[in-house]
Amino acid sequence: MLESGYFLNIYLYFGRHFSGLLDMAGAQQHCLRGASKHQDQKVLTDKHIHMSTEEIIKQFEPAQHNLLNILHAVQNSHPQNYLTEQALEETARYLKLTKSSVYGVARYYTMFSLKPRGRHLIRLCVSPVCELLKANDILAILQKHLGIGVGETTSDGLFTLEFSECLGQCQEAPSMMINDQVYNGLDEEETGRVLEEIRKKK
Amino acid sequence: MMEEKKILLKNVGVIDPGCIDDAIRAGGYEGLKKALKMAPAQVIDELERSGLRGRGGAGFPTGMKQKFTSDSCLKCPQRYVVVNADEGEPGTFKDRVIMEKDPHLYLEGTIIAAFAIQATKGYIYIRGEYHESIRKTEQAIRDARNKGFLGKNILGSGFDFDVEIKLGAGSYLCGEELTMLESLEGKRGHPRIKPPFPAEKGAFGMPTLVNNVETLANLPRIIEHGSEWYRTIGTERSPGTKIFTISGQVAKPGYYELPMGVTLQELIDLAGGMRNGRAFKAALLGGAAGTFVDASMLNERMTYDNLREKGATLGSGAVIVLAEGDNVSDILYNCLRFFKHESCGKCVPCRVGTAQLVNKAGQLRNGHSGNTTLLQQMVREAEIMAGTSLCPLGQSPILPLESFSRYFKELQ
Repeated sequence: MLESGYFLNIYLYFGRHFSGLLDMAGAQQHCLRGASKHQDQKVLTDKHIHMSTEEIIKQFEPAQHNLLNILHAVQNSHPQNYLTEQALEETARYLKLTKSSVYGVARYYTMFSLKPRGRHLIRLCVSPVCELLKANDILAILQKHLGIGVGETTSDGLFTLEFSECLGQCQEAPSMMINDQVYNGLDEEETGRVLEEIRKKK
Repeated sequence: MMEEKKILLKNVGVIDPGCIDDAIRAGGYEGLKKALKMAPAQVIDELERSGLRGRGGAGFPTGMKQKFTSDSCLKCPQRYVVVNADEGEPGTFKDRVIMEKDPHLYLEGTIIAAFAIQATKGYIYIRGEYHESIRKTEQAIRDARNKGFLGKNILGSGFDFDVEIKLGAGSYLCGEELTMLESLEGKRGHPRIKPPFPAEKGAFGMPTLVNNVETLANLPRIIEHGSEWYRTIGTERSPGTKIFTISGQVAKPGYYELPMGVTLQELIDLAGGMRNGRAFKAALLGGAAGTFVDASMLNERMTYDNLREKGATLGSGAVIVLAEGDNVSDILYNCLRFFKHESCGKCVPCRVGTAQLVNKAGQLRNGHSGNTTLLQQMVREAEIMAGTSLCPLGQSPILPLESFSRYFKELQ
C-alpha cells in the first residue's frame, strides 16, 4: 500500500504526462509481471543506442516483410534520428534486396529521414481539429523559441521541427509529439515549459 | 438525454491495460474459450447473424468477409488475419483508445477471427506514431502467449495461431487494405489493383482477412453473448454500438460509445454541448475522407445506410464540430492539403488533381471572385479523379468537396 501510495504521489506531482506511472501503481498491487518464457523480447519503439546497426538488424529474421520494422529500429538507434547510407546498405545486404529498393522504401515513408535531424524530433499536428484550435499559434511559438523553420534543425543539434498529420489526440487539441511522448492541450506557457524541460535534460 | 452504451469500452478505465490477469478477471478471453468449442463455420454463422459491419469506415458485413476468406483457395498452404490498426483518418482515435486501454479485447477478437477462417498466422499493422498502442499491444501479445491464448494448441483445442506487429511509417494510404498489405510485405505503399480482393489474394498472395481494430473488438462480445443479444442494440441494418470520436467546438471532446442510430444532436449534447455556448455551424463526419453537414442534419440518425441516403458518411465515426464564426473553407483546405500530402503519386489524376485542388481551395478561402464557378470546377475535377484513380485516396476528395458545395455555396 505504502509503495503504491508513493507512486500515486509521483503521478500527481508530475501530472498527466507520466500517466504510465499510474498503471505501475495499480500493477504493484495485483499484477505479477514475470519474465516472459519466450525469447521475443525486443520492443519495437525502443531506442537501442547501445547497439550497432548490425546487432539491431540481426534481431530480425532476414525477410523483406521486416524491412519497415528494421528501418524504424535502426533509425531509433541513431542519435540524429536518421538512416545513414551505410545503414541502408547493411539492411539491403541482410535482406538480400537491392540498395535502390531499400532506398525507395525509406524515401516513401515520411517517418524516415535520410538527412541528420536533431536529437529531439518535434512533430506538430496539423490536422483539421488542431488547426481549428489554433495549431498555427503553437507553430509560431515553437519557431520563436527554436529560431528555426519547419524541416530545420537548431544549430545546437537539439531539435528538429516537423509537421505531422492527425496524431489522434483530438480530444485535447492542439497536440504535438516530441520523440515518443505526446503533449496535448498546448498553449504558449505549456509549449515553452515542455521545451525548457527537454533542454535541461539535454 | 442519450446515455452511453458501453459494450466495447466497458473495461476502459476499470482495468490495468498492462495486466492480463486484470483483463481475465473482467471477463477477458471468455469469448475465445466459447469459440474454440464451436466449429469454425458456426463462429462465422454467428457473426453473419449478428449483422456486424466493418468499423473501419466502409461498413462491409464482417461475417460475409470471413466466409469469403474461409472459402477461398482451399489448396493454399496458408491464410492470414491482418489487423488494420493504421488509424490515421483526421479526427479519429477510437482504435487508439482500445489499443491503449484494453488491448486484450481486440487481441481476443483477432484470435477468434483467425480460428473462424483457420488462419495460423496474423499481423497487426499499427501506425508508427502510435507508440503507446504499440507498447501496450506488445505487452498484451507476450502475456497472451504466456497464458496459452496464442501459440501452439491454444487452450488445448488443437488450434495454432500467433501474431506479429508490423509498424507503419507515416503513410495514411497504408490504412487502405491492399496498400497495407504492400507495406506489410516491406514495400512502398502503392495501392494494388482490385480485384483480386484480399480474401482471394492478400498478404504474400494468400487468402487474407483484413479487419479494423474496433470491428475485431466486437467479436468476443458477440460470441460470448450471442447474435440475438447483439441485435437488440443499434438498428436493424446497423446493429451494435459505434465508438464516436467528437472533437472541435464542443465542451467535452472525446470518445463516446453509443448504439448505432444516435443523432448528431444527441452526440453533441453528450459531449457537453457547444464550447462556450457558441452556435452550431457545421460538422465534418468521417474525417477528411468524409462529408460536411449543416444544421439541417442534426436530427438524422447516424447509421451507415441512413447517412448514405442523405449524401453523408458515417466513416470511422469521427465528428469534427465547427461553430458559427469558424471558416468552413479553412477546414476544406486542410482536408485537400492532407490528400495532396498523402497521395502516393501512382495515378496521375490523383497526383496532379490533389495539387490542383489545393491551389483552388487556397483561392476559395482567400475569398477570390467567381467562387461559385471555382467551386464547380473543383467538384468536376474531383469527380474525374474519383473515376480514374485506383484507390480510395483519389476517390475521396469528392466527398468533402461535393458536400461543402451543397451546404456552404452561399457563404462564399
